[in-house]
Amino acid sequence: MFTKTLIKKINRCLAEKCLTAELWTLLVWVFLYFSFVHCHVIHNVFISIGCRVFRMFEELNRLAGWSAEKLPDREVIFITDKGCNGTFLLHHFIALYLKAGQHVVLVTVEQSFAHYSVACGKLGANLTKSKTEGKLTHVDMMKAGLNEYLQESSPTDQLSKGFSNKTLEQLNDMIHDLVNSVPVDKKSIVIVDDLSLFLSLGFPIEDVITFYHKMKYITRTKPASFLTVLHLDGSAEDLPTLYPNFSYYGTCELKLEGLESGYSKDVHGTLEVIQKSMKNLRTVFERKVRQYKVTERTLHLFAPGTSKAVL
Amino acid sequence: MKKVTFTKKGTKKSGISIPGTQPSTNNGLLLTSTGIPSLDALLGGGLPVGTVLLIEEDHTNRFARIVSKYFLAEGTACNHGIYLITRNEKPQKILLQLPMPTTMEKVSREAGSGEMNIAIRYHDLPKAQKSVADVSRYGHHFDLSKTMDALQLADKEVHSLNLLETIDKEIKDIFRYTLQQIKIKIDTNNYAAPSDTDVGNEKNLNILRVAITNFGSPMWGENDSETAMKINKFLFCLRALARQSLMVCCITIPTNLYTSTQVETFRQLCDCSVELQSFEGKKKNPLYKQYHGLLKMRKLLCLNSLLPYVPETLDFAFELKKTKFVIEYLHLPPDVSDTASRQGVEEIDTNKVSKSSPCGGTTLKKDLDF
Repeated sequence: MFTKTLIKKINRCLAEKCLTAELWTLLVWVFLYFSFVHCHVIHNVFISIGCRVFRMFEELNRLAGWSAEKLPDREVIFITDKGCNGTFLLHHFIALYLKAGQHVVLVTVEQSFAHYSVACGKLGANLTKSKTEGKLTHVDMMKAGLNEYLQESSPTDQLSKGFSNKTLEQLNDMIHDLVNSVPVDKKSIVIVDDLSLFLSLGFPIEDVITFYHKMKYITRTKPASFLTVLHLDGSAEDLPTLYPNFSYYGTCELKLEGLESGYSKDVHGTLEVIQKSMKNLRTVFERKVRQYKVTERTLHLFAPGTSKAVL
Repeated sequence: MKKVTFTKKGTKKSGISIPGTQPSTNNGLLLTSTGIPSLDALLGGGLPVGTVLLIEEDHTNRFARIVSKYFLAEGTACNHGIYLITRNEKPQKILLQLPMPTTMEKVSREAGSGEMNIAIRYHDLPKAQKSVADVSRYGHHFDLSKTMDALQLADKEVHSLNLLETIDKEIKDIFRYTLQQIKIKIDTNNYAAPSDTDVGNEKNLNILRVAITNFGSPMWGENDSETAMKINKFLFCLRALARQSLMVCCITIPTNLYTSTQVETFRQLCDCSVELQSFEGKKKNPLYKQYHGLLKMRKLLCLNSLLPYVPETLDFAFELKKTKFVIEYLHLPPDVSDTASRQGVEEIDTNKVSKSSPCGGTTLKKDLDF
C-alpha cells in the first residue's frame, strides 16, 4: 500500500517535471522505508560493496565459509605448498583480521615486515597504522637469528638470546603473553611465517612439533587462531613426519599444489580446502578442490578445468 | 628492522637517491642492475636492494664467473662499493678481469623490407622477439674483450676477502666468520640503511655489492648434510643482514655437488635463483647451435607483492659473444633446410642412413617431400 502511493507520487513528480525538492523528499522516504523494512538487503549490499572495495580474497572466504563477521574461530590453519609458493595467502588473513578490527600477532621468519606492509597495502590493510594502534604485533625472528649468528646482543631485542635451543620455547612464551594482553572481546590470530624453515635451520623436529602443540593449546584457551605455512619441497629429512603431525592438530588445511604439467600463466595450481569438524562424535573432513590464479590484488578460484583460458 | 622502501605518495623524507639505482613503479623497491641487461629484464627491471641472488653454476663454472664479473663491474661503473669473497682463488684474479664499460650502442631495428618472404597475413606482424631487452634503462654496457686494470679500480670502493689466507688460522666456522666480516664492512662504511629519524646523512649512502664465488665448493667444507645445514644458516642470516642494510648479494653455488632437496632448500632461502646449464663437453642439440647453454629461472623474485614478476616465457638460452654475454628467449627456428622431411631435425640422421636403401634412393625422398 505504502509503496504504491510512493510510486504514484514519484510518477506524478516526474511527469509534471516538478521541483526537485519534492522529489528529493520522496526519495528520502523511499530510502528510509527500505532501510527499516528491508534492512538486511541494504546490509548485504554494503558488505559486498565493502568487500570489493577492500579487495580481499572473497572467493576464498566464500569457499571456506569465512567473512568479516565470521572469522576463523579457535582454528589451527596450516598452509602446505608443493611446487608453488603459498605465502600470498598469509596476506589475505592479515588483511581479513585487520579489516574486522581484530588483532594479529605476526611472527616473521622468511620475509621482512616491509614486505608484508607493502603487500597487504595492496589488499587495503595498513600495517604500520595497525602497529601503532596496537592491533598488530610483530615479532622479528630474522633479526634475532642474525644477532645470534653474529654473536651480538642488542638491548632492543625481544628475544634475549636469539637463536638457541630455547628459541622456540621463548617464542611460545612471548606469544602467550601477547595473546593474553589482547582485550577479552577481541579475536586474534597468530601467524608464523614459515615453521618448516626452522627445520632447515637445524632445529630438532620435536621442538617444532611441541611448539605447534602449544599453539593449539592457545587456541583452546583464548579466542585465538593459529596460522602457519609448511613448505613441502625441502631438504630436511624429518619433513615427511611433520606433515602428519600438523594435520593431526590442525583444523583446517589449505593445500596448494602446482600443476603437474608445469607452469601456466592462467592457472597457477590447485587449492584444496580441507576442514575438520566433529559431527555426531565422528571426525568429518570437508574437502573442496579448486584451481586458482593469483593476480596483483586478489585470488581467483574456479572449478578444475574451467579456467577462462580453457573455456 | 628497516628496509629501504620507496613509496610514490609523499612521505616525510623525499626518498633516498643513490646513483645507479632506480625505484620500481609498483612495489616500492629500489632496483639495481646486475650488469647484464637481459638478466635485469628477467628479474622485472633489476635486482632489488636488500636481496640475495643465487646463481647455480654450470659444471665448468665458466659462465657463472662471467655473471659475477658483470655484477662487480656494474658496481664499479655506478660507484657502488664492491666486496668480493673467494675461497677457491685469490680475489685479485677476478678483480683484474672485470669487463670495461663501453658507451651505449644504438640498437637499430631492422625495418621491414618491401620484399615478401613470408605469406601476406604475417607481413605486418612484428618479428618474433629474440632478445629479452633491447635497451637497458639504467645499466651499463660492458665489453668483455677489454678489462679494467688496477688504475681504473683505484678510485673505486673495492674490497675483497681472501679466505685462502685463513686456512692457517684456526677458524671453527668459516661461514660465520664470513658473515661477521660482511657485517664489519657494512658498519665501518656507509652501507647501513638509514633509520627513520636520521635524515641528514642521506648523501653519504651507498650500496654494497657482495659477490661470493664458488660458495659451498669443497674448499668451504665437505659436501655433506652438515655443511648444507651451515650453508642454510648462512643464507638465512645473509638475507636477514641484506634486508636491514643497503646490500645486494650475488652468490654462485656449484649445485651439482649437492642433492636436489638440499638445492631446493638453498633456493628457498635466497630471494631469486637462476640456473645455468652449459653445453660444454656435451653433445649439443643442433637446434641450439648458436647458444652456449640454457638458463632456467628456478625461483622467481617475489618481494612486496602477492605474486612474482613472471617473464613472458620461462625458457631461456645464453650465448657468450665476443664482447658480451647475452640471454635470449628460446625460440625454435622454422625447419627450412633442403633435406627437410615431415619428421624434423632429430630424424635427419635416419634419413641419411636410409639414403642407401635399394629402392628409390635420395631422389625419391625429395619427390615425396611436399
